[in-house]
Amino acid sequence: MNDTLCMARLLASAVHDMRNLLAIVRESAGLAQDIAALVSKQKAAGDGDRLSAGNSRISASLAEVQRAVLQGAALSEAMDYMAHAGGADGRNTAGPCDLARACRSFQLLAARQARAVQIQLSSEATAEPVWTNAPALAVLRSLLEVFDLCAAVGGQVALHIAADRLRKEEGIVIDVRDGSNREMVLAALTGAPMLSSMSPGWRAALTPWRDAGSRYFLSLVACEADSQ
Amino acid sequence: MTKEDIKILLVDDEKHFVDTLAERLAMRGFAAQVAYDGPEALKAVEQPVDVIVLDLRMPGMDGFEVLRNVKKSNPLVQVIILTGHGGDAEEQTAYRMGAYNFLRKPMDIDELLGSIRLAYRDKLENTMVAVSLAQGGDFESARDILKENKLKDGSD
Repeated sequence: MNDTLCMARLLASAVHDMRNLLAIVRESAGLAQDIAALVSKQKAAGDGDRLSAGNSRISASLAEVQRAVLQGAALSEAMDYMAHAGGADGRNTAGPCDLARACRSFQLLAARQARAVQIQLSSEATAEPVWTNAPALAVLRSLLEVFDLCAAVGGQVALHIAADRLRKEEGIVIDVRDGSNREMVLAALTGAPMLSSMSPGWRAALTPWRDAGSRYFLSLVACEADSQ
Repeated sequence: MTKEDIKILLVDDEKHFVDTLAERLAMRGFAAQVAYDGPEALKAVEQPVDVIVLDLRMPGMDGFEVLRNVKKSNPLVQVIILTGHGGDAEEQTAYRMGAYNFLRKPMDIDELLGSIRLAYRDKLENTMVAVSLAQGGDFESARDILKENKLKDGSD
């Protein structure tokens, strides 16, 4: 997978979610307007019960608008992260990269794709930064490659991704949690330890995490460029 | 014929969106049924439905599969695609498969209502023409009307 394909796929997924959020904002705000118009009629007619019900429905709609806007803002931040990882500011796209932020961004960017194959994707919302020198876009590509391995065997599993260290080496723990297809996903990840999506000079490998049978460590290791 | 007579089915896995849309349609006098995934939608069309507003990307069975099944079992039912996803290829595929219209989120509710009204009017016209042809003994032409509203890519 190259950078362009990775960005195109994550962008398509994110834009789909963004349009859905805008649709929710538009419908919720529209509903609040509709109800407000009704409420003013009821106020004129002195219908207290309906007035109160209408007001609480308006509050619920506005709360949904706020929720969707917050989610949209988080999604925008993840899109911005990916844009900068791809060199939007004209700077070198090499590291450093905070793996915790890369996990959070990936979760948001791939959410729609994940739902389509019934993969429940989660990450740590407030994790401490785990810095690596690996390029951020290559980290996203590696995560997308792991995601594809899970989707290729049918998805239907919960995946939790979190930045961590194993023997002083920075990487990402992929935790395969519940799901009807868990065993197939475990088999797919066990059988594909080497990933091909890293930039020259970097190698991504998937190995079992300590003794836990359902966890894998995605390590991002600098290597000789000609060994790719 | 009043606006309440149009049997509308809204299909989308975005629960809050589709519930709110149904509520807004109800406030305008259009009672709409909702389904949150493909299998639920196919179950709903076992009962009479005039117009389906259908999302494309849904977990499990996607909108194209729903569209194909609906057009196979109920060729006169009109399907409006309403999606947050979709490039030109998806739009072309949807029309080829017999979709009535292709709208992108976020849309204006009046635009959607306009499309629902037009789709319903066309459905009525098609039904009346097919019935009168069949009553006159012209079963072949009646069948053509039904075929026109089925898959247009020949995959049925």
